[in-house]
Amino acid sequence: MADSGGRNFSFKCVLLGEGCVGKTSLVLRYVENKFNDKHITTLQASFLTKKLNIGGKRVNLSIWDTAGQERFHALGPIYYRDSNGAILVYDITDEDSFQKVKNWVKELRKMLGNDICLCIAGNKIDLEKERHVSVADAEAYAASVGAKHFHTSAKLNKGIEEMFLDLSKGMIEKAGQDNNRNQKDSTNRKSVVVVDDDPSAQQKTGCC
Amino acid sequence: MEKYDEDVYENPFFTALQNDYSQLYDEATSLRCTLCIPQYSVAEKNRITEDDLKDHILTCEGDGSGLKTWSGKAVKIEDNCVVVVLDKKETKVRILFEEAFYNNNDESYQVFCIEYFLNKPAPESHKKEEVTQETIPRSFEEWKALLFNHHGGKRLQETLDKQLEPFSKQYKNLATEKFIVIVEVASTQFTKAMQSVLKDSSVRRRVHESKKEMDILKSAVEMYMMVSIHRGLFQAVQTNLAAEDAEVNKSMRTLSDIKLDELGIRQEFMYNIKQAKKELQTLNKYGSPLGRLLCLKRVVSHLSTPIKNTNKKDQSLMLTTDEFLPIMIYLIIKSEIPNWMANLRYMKEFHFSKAYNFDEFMFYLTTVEAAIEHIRSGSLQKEAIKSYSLKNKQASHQSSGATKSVDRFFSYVEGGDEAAVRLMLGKPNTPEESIILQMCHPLCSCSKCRTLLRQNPTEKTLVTAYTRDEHGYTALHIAALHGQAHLVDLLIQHGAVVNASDYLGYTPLHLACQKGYQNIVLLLIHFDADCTQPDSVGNTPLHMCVDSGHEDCVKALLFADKVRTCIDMNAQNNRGDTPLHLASKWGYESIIQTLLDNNARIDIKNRKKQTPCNVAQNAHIQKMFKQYDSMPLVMTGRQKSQSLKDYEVVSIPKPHKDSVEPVTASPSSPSKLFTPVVASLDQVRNHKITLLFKAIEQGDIPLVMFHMKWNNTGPESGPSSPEAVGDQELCHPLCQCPKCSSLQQGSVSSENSLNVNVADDKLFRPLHKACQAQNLDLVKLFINKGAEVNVHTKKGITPLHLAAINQNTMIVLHLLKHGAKVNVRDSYGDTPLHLSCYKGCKDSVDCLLMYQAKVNISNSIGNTPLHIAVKTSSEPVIVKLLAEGAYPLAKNKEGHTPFDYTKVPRIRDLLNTHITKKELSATSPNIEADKEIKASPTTPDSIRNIFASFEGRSRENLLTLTSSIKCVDRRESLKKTPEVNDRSNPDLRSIRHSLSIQNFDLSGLRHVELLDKSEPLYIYRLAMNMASDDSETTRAQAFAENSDAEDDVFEKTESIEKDTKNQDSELQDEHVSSKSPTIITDSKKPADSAVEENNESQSDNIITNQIVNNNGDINTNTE
Repeated sequence: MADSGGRNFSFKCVLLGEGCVGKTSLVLRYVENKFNDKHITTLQASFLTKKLNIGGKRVNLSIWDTAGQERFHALGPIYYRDSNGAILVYDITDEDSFQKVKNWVKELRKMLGNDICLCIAGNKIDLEKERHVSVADAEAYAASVGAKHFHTSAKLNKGIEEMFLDLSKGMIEKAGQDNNRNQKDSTNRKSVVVVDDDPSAQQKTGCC
Repeated sequence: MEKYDEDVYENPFFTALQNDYSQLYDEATSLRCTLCIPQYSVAEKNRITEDDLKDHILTCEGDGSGLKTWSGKAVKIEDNCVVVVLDKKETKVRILFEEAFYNNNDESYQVFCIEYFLNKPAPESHKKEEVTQETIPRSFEEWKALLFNHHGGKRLQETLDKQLEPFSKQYKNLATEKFIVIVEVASTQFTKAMQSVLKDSSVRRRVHESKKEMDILKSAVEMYMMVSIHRGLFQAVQTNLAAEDAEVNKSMRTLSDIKLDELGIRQEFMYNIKQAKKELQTLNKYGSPLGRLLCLKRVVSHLSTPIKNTNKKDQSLMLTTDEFLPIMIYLIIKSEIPNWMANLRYMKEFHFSKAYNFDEFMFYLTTVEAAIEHIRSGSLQKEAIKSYSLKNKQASHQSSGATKSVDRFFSYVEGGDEAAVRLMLGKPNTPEESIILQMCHPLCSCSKCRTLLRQNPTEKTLVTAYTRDEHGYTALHIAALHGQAHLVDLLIQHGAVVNASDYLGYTPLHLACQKGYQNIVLLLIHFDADCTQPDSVGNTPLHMCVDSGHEDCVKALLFADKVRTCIDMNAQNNRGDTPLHLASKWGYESIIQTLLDNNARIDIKNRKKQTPCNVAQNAHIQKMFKQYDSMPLVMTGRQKSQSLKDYEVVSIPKPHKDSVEPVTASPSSPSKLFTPVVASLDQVRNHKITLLFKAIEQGDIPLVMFHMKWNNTGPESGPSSPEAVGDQELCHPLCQCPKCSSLQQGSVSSENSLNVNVADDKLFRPLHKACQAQNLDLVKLFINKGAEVNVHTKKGITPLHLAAINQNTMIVLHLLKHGAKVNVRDSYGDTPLHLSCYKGCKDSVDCLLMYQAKVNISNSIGNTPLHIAVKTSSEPVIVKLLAEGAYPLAKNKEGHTPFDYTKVPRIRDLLNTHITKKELSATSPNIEADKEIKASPTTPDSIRNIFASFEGRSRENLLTLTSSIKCVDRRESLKKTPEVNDRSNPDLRSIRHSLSIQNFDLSGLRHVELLDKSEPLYIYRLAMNMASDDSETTRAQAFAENSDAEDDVFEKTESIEKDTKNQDSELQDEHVSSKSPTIITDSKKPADSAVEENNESQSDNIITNQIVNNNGDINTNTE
């Protein structure tokens, strides 16, 4: 999809993480526009798009939410194949959800290798008091697997935009590398955004 | 939905702001203002001033209440439009798309690309143009218009059609190709179509304008092309993916009754789901992949419509993936679309244009794929079951202390906890009984006894095998639903009703069929479950298992010997679908083959006037039907010649090939695929049977053992009969658990090894063959291995017949020892004794007579063994027969006695001496009676004679008479009764009176004695009431008789009926049965009605009296 001199990109980015960590809230918060309420008219949060223009580079970001229920875990590959980025979300108040992120990272690296850009999001930092996953641990882990770590809160709208921007940049970079290697293939459809949902932040989808 | 797209960096308005007024730009962006940029085509036509720019920068008011332009004008945003006040009028300017921009400091700001300037009135023409471009064509016609509605469009259409024509003819050959080949061929075709469209100059001009136009054109070409070729192409895809589809359908149909809450979907979505389902069901109506994708999109938009009547908490009903996926699973299951895999691949691989909303479509497709994958994985089924038991547990937790025993009982059944179930079911009466024992008197009501009664834990006794839950399920339903085979037996032992139906009319058999538990299906059939009972929508159990694609259950239903005759292959449900319709719709090829082999009709039409062939989804299946339809004769011819081959021309292998060839050769297209289907499992099996029988004929025991897959050590190590093994070690004779199936080497379902009771087309079994080959060792072996002794061929021949006719006394003896029925008849009415007499084999005759063979039994032409023995002039046999009481004057149906068949003086002498002897001693009135019965005219005199003969005190006579009376076809004789009741007759009334007194005198019943207990298995009881003349004292006496004896007498009884038009015997019957209805197990008729029937024949009043008298006589006599 990328054309016009490598300035247009189209990225697919999946959100992974245990149920109740706030994946959906996160993406809704990101896509929402406080002035333009058109997104509210379609109550659909599983597939969202956002157009970005990063210093003249146009990015069409499709964000695929996934079902967090454990029983659907096996369907993961169907969702994340061909994605350029993954946001792995965990809930900072829930140790298990962080464990889950580690599993996802392992799986993604195994299936997609380094073709995918990873972001880990420690969500629900508004509940800092109940934190169960230490910042140091999380960041160290993220660094060890080559993923960026972000502290986010869908409730307070913190860290979300930065995360997506960073991920997009990462994907553009990766696409550029691919381009150099394989000049033809300018389409970078391979970024999976892994969001570590904080379970407490989930409160109903679209907690704004 | 944004269609319009442009690179804002190239927009003159934006560049003017960025370059010429960079200070303003920096300031605005660092304040995160929103920029409104008029679209390129508008912007380039105008000179841009600083004021223009300032009017297009929107800032937030300090308090966040509203928006203002940089220049201070108030602005609103509504419905995806920027609303400004222009010339005192509100003007809406549409936002074409929005983009999040980041400046060099990574500070983000919004950019709206808008339709035209906010501060200048819009040109009219421009407005309209934009509107039309926004909407995408909705119908195929619109797409077509887009392509061809210009000068020269017609010619373009013609060339395109010409191009596509050969392709659509070509598709038939594609079905057998690999999937990727089909995709490539179609893709090439699409490229060609695009080329020819772009040759058109006016189209080319239009496309050059923008990328968007190109996308639309691509979509249009795809739409046009796919609609015209989809019929063939989709067929090919379907045929290609038939197997996968069938597999998916099987999992889907098994889950067809899934509920929303079982998937964890909130009920609030119910309304949306209904709408979405309606939409989804139209999926197959759209020809092109794009059409189907749009349909899918509409489904999603139905799902995400805000739900009304929810107290403004719309947010909580946002459709998230957590819910979207389960809803899709639900919709896919409920949509009843039989070709999901084909659809999925079709939408995925044949959507060439990839322009319009491609990402979104891909997401929907991915969700569909994930949903199908989840259904396919089978985890859903486990989940559903789990959630059910969970629910139950929760329910029982809620009522914690006072858990209802019913709930507990059902959850035990569900979990298959046999011990617990047994405990709860076991002896429900004991508590009550024990309490009654503690009471002063069963009826006592003193305070002590009352408290005892109150403490009686009645709740415990509430649980029986009849208890039902909130679906109307009995425990048996639940056991069937959850595959608890071992409980089925237990529950039925405790009186569970096999054919109980729940609210929806499902019997346990329905549920077991739907869930595919073959072992339970077999068990239920074994317990006489009704295989034809329809549920509330008319589905029989056969429908259920065909619907869910459980081939093993279909076979179980069809091949279970018991039901074979009564099952209706062509039963139609409320939609008019036969099982064959369902199998065809869901694409279960092997089930179709099974049904066709069992003569299911292919010409039945359902409510939509579709035959099974019409509902078929792919070419494989249609081919199967056509093949079957075009040559039913050849098919049956095959079967016939096959059986001929197997049993008559074993040595010649050629006819087999010849007979199969026409089947494969006749269809015009080569049907390689079809050959293996024709050479079905039966063929292999028949071949095996042939080999086995050949080995038996040659007496090659090791080879036989090899064919039967018995170990050589088998017979030595296990001398005890395998039946015993079966009884002891198997969970149940029909159980299919791994342990049991290994024990049952030749179980019904295992197709690899042969069962010892395997039968060929004529129902000859190994034991028959062994008897025919006169191989005692083999006979012993087979019987040891559990072969059934009393099996019939189609002509009613048992092994004993074969042994008798082959004069092999040893085998005869062995068979008799192992329970062979001695008086069994073949289709000519011959018993083994007849055959032995025919062969003149005295030893066999001795053996048979030793085992109580009937001497005077007659075959279908009325010949007794004596007739035959005389015919063959076998003197020792005649002597033996006469000694055993054969009656030399018995007449066959031609009226001949044995005398008429011989001229040998010695034999005549022999016979003569016996006649005189018998007549003199008059000890054999039995035969006389028989003869009388056959010959006598309908005079009361002769009847009197018959009854007079009873005075001979012979028990045998009594038995003969009672059984013959019992066998009278009551209905038939009733019809013949011409007279009307006359209840006024005092005699009758008195009889009735006395009879009814006797009927209800239960004390008489306690003294029942069984006279003959020698053969408990075949006993049935007849009772005679031993009343004295004045009927003051009543005693009951039961007579037992072998069922064979009944058969023997049956014919004679019929003749009685014919000859005497005998209401009297009818009466007698009523008389006997009404006197002791509780003893006679067969008689279910209330005594009163029986008596009333008596009254119908007033004219026989006297005779009735006589009978009573006679009975009285008999009673006294037998005493």
